[in-house]
Amino acid sequence: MENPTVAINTVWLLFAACLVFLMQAGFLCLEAGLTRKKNNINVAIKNLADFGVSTLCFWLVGYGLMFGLSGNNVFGTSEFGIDIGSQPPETIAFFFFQVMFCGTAVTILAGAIAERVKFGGYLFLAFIGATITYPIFGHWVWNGINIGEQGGWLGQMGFVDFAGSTVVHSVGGWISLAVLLVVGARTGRFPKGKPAQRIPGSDVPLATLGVLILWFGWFGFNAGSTLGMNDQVPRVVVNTIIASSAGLVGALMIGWFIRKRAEIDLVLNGVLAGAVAITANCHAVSTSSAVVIGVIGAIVMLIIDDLLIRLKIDDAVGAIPVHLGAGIWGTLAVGIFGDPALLGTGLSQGDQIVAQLVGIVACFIWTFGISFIITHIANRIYPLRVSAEDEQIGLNVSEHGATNELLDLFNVMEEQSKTGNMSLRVPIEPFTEVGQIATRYNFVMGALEEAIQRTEAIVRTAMDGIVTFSKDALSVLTINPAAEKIFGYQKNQLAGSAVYQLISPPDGISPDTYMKSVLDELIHADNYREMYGRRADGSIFPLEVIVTEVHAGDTTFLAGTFRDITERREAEEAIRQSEIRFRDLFEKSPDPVFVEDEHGNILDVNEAACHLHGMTKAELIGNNAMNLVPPEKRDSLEIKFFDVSENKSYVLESFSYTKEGIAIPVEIRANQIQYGNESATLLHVRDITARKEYEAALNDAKELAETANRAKSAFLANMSHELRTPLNAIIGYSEMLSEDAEDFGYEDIVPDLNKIQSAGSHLLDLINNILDLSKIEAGRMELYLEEFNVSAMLDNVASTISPLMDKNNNQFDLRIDESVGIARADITKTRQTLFNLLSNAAKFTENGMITLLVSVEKRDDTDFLMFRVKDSGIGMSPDQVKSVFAEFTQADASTTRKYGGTGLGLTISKRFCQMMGGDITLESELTIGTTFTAFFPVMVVDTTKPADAQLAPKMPVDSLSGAKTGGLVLVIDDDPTVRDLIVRSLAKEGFSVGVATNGAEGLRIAKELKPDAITLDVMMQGMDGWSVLEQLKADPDLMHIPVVMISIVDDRTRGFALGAAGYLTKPIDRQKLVDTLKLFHKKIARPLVFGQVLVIDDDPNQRDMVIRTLEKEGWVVEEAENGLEGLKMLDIFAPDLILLDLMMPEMDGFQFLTELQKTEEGRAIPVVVVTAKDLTSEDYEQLRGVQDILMKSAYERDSLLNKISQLINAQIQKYDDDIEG
Amino acid sequence: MATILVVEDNEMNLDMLSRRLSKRGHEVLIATDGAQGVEMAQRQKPNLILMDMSLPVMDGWQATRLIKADSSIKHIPVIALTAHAIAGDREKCLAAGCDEYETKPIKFPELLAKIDHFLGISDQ
Repeated sequence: MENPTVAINTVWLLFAACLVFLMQAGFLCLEAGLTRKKNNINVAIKNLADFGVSTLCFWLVGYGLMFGLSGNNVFGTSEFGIDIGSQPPETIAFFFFQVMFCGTAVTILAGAIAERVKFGGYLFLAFIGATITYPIFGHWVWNGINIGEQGGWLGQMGFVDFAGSTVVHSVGGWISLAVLLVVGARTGRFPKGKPAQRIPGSDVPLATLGVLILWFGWFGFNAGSTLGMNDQVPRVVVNTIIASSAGLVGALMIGWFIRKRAEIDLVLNGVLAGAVAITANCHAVSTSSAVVIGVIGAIVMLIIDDLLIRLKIDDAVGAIPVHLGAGIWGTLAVGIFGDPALLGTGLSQGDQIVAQLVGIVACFIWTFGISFIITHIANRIYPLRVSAEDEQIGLNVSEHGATNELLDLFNVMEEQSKTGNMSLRVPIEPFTEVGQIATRYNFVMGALEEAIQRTEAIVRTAMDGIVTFSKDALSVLTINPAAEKIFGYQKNQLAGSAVYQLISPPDGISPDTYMKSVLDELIHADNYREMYGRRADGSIFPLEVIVTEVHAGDTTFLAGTFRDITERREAEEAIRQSEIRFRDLFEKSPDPVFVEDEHGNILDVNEAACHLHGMTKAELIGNNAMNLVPPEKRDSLEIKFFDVSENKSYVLESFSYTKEGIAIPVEIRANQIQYGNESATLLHVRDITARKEYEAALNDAKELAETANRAKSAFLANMSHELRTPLNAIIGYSEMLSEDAEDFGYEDIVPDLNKIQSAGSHLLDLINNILDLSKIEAGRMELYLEEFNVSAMLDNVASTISPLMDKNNNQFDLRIDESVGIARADITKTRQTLFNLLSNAAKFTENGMITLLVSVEKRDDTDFLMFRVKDSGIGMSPDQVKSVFAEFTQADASTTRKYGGTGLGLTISKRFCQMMGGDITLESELTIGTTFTAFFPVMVVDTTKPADAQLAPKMPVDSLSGAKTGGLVLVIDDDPTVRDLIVRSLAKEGFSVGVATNGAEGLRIAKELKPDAITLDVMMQGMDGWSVLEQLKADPDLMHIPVVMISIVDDRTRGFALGAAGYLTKPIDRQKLVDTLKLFHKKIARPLVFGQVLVIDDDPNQRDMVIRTLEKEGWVVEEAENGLEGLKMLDIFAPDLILLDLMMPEMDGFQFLTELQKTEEGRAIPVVVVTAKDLTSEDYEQLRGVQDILMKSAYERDSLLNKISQLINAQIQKYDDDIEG
Repeated sequence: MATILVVEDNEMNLDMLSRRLSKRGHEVLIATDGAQGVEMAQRQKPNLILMDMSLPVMDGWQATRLIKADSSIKHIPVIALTAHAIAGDREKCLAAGCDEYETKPIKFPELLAKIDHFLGISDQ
């Protein structure tokens, strides 16, 4: 390099080549900055890798094709794989510079097709570009430029492309376009039916730096194209910077105006478009032209950019608008603005433009054509484009396995969005921005997962069925376990099926139609709607449904909640039924029922209650029970709001009042009940009007019956009286005549007279029997019990009956068992019974045997006397046996005719035995005979009277005569029987008695007599006892007189309230009457003369027995337990008789007698000695003055009484005689 | 024998009774009503009185009461002789002061026994 010019040119060219090499860095920065981060590594690696590929290819093939000897003006044929080192330096520098240009042309493709093409595919395209496409076209334009000749056909034609607007930039652009048409746009760049989507670059500052580097490299690119450090260099540099700047400003201004924003690509691509446009002509245009060229280059760039978007050609970095668009313009601008002198082609401007156009077209044909064909074929064999998945992930990862933390984040997010797996977490790279995001993302996911888990738990465990389903198809999306259970499906069986199959529509509507028709309402209802559900087995059940619409992101679905209300419905129904049932029980009760609170307010009533009061329910409920009673009746009404406690029920009779105030007699039963939370009273009211009427009727009937009974008694008494009177004559005369007939020798008429007598006797029996019967019926027959010797009684009966036995020629056999001895019974009734039975037997038996068997048998610990009367007579049929004891009944009607008899005998006999605690039974057989068995206890006890009162009085009672020392008692009674009874009782007790037969008379007599006491009958004709009592108590003269009320009814409260002193009920207990009167009148004393006895005995039992016996007979008795006491008693008591024991302490009987006989009065008192002592003759001597001596062991009560009675009568006689005397 | 006053208004009964008593040797006095009976008793002082109860003018009960109230004749036994033969009649008669009670138709032997009983006592 001795030649300095050559050296300088070589240095310049090497320097320019280095600047161009720097453009590789510019492209790298620009393209990596304008693409997304997931692809930036790929873009960068492509920029670097393609340079290596293109350099080697260019050295091996491309340089030869481009700059080798051109035999055909189309491609070079030498210089392939040349040994560069053996070349002259300027050639080496030129090669170096051209290698850079080839690399530049190829690398344009890398930006345009970024983010979609496989790395391998790209390297293949780079290989084709560097090996064939670029060198062939370069040959056409630039072959020979290094030696100042034109070897290529375009160069020879005068086509000028100073630094490669077409050769480098357009070629790169055309290749890019061809490949883009084959591989297509990036996913999402041109979405269907939507405007083109801008895909923003990841690092704009980096891209900007890349542009600056490019711009800087461009000086080498353009200025190096001078191939030497000559005069052109400054102009080239200046034009390059001016045009680039004009491109920048032009693109910015125009783009700003059009797009309303100063977008980044306007600035970046504006610079590059200006630079590309000036590249072809920078050596031959003025500065002003450079400005125009730059601006127009920018405009072209903008137009192409817009056109590409319209054509949906996705140039990732704008390589085509910049390199192809501005390159074509720059090439054309050579002809338009180029100074022909400077161009040195010798062509006119027009020819030059034509040449330029030919070059442009040729470039298109060759470059685009070859690239498209090769790319198309290659793509068939080996798809150049990455899969959509890889494109999505990014080529960094898919092509190079290069990853970063952001990518990890994306991966997890994507996985989660796809699977919904919330448990995934992003790996955290500490100290990075993405690490921070990942941390927060994990927090969010944690919270979200928890929230979802919670929601899921609720849904899973909910009792209600929860089903989500799609809105359009109504198909089930999710279903919780409860829903599966409610509808009876297996797990997951329902997913995807139609939700309306769970619903049972009304008849005639299909489930889907029904579901759709109610869905809108369901969604908008704010509460559950009741429907019917259908289970898997087809059963229908009541359901509550609510549906809500759920919006989640872009999707909308429906969530239904289903509640099985079968049980609730059943329970409601059961309650309703129960309510109806009990309501019916209450309402339909025939008795009025009230529920009242404690104040008597009516809480509820039934229909019967309304009916009772003639009021409606509304009128009754809420009213107070008292308001139902007319005001004037309230005081008298005995409704008290009783204290109904402890399940006790109260019953009372009262009155209910209708609305009109009519009183209805009612019976009220009250029970305490629980009414809600309150305690209430349940009142069952019963209308007892009918009962009251029955009661009244019954009372009337009873009165009537009693009256009738009284009338019957009166009739019987009268009848008896009226029959007896003539009978007396009949029997009397016949007896008398019979006697006379015998006496006077008319025996022949005696039988006839006896017949009259017998007939009379029968009539008398009849009368007596009738009376007996009526007495028994009235319960008035009394037993006269006495001890008697049964055998003796039976002998008597046998002798009496023997004529009857003989009459029918019957044998009579009396058999008395050894056990039979003494009996205590009513001997008359016993005799009558036996006589009855025997006479019957005799009557119904002829020529037969009649047996009377008497024995004592034990039954139930009691000895019974059994009388069996057995005959061999006609007997009785079972029917006759049944009726034989009925009154006035004989075995049959014919019996009466044949056998006679009253038909009353058996009836009466049976009653007699029953009265004595026994009965009569019979066994009979027709034609065989009959056995009657009469029986009663050996010792009969009269249950109708106290044991003491069983002895019939044997002494005549004469207590009415004589003066009285007792008080005066007025007896007011309208019933003569009662009156007489009272009078006698009182008289016997020593009272003076006045009588009045009615109230008015009673009052009058009371005023006259001023009695000491009054007995007053309550029930009297005319003025009743109460009125009399009132008037007695109102009279100042009479009011102090004690009044004893006597009544059938026990109403002593009223009696005492009216001032009665005592109250006695009928039948009157005589003793009570006397006791009562004695209580009220102290003046009442003893009868004066008759029946005063002093009993002196040391044995209290003996004394007591004697006293009671005597007192019962009406005697007044005083007692003393020894002689001394007896003497003292005589000072205050004047006995008519003294009963004296002998052996006594203190003073014995002998001494007492001695003392007694010392006085006149003493000697006058008869003394009967009652003793158990064996008396000696001395004793008898001492007792000479006494009336009689009775031995204790021997004396019987009756004989004692007889003795006493005789003594006293004698005493009276003597007394009377004394008076008379 | 004794003097017996029969107070009886029924002619047949009176006739029959007086004849039968006379036949037994008694002297029979006759009264046909109560008042007459009392008067006869007071005047004649018979040994015994047979007193019917249903009598005109004055009934037997009242007559008996008067007889028994008269100390000059009250010792004379009075036997009620009546057709009032139902329950209570006996008591009524005794309450009026009768010493005995016998129902019609008369069982003559019993009546005689009672008469003898009373006459026997007064004989003592």
